[in-house]
Amino acid sequence: MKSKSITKTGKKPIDSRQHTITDGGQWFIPAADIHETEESILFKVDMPGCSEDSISLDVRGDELVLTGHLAYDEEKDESLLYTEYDVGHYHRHFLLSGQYNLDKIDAGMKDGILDIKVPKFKKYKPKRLKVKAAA
Amino acid sequence: MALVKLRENPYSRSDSLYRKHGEIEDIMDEPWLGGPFPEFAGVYPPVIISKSGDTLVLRAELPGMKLKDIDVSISGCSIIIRGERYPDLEDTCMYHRRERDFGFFSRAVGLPENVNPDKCEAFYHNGVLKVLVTTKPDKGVKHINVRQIK
Repeated sequence: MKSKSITKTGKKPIDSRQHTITDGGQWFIPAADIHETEESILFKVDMPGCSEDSISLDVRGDELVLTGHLAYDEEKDESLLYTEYDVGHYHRHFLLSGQYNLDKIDAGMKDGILDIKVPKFKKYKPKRLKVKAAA
Repeated sequence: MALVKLRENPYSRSDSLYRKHGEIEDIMDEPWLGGPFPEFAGVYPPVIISKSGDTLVLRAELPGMKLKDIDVSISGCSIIIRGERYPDLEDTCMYHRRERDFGFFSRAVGLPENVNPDKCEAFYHNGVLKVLVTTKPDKGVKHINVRQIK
C-alpha cells in the first residue's frame, strides 16, 4: 500500500492573549502527539531548531510547561531572499490529570523531537482480574 | 494505516480539555477557513532561502528524520528534496492528541541563480536541513548593439 504524503506542518503561532510573552522574538506552539499506554503517557513534540541545551521543561503542580529557544545559526552576512515559513521559539503547556507521577518524568531530545514519558501511579495501571466460572 | 482513537475518560481533566480545544482548532486549520498560516497548498517541506556571498542557503524544517530517509539532489536550477517520515509511536497506544503529520514528501525548489552542482553541501542538525549551494560566477553584462533597419 502506497504511504500517504505529508501535507501540513504542525507548529502554530501562539495566541498572545492566552500566553503573553514579553521575551523578544516570535513564539509558536509546537506540534505534539500525546499517546497513552498501560504504563505511562507519552509526548512527542516537534521542535526543529532546538537542542537539549535550549529546552526547559518544568513541572508546576499538575502542569508540564515546555519552553524551547531556537539557536539561530546564520552564515556570514546572510540576507533573506525568500521565505515560506516563520521561525521562532516554542512554548506549550500540558495539564495532566492526577494519574501520572510527575516526579518520575523522563525526557530526551533528538533531531528536533522532544520525547517525554510520564509513568502512571501504580493504582491507575490497569489490572487484569481473573474471572472464575460461577458455581 | 492506524485510525486515530479517542477514548472518553470522564475522570480525566486533560482528556475533555484537549477534546474541545482540539475540535475547534482542527476546524480552523482547514484551508478554506483561512488556516493558521498562509498554507502553500500541500507543499512540504516549506523552505527559507537566503544568500551569503556566493552561496545560496536553503533551510527546511524536517524534525525526526533519519539521514537515509532524506534525499537531496540538484538538477539544473532546482534543488529536489525527497524523503519519507515514518510514524514513531506504536499503533496500539491510545491517542489523546495527534498533530504531527507523517508520510512521504517530494519537492523541487527553483533557485534564482545558476548553481555549481559540484560545490554543494547539505547538513542535518537539530531537525533542520540546510543546503549550501554555490552559484556560478556571473559572466558579466554583455552589451548588445541595436541596429536600425531601413
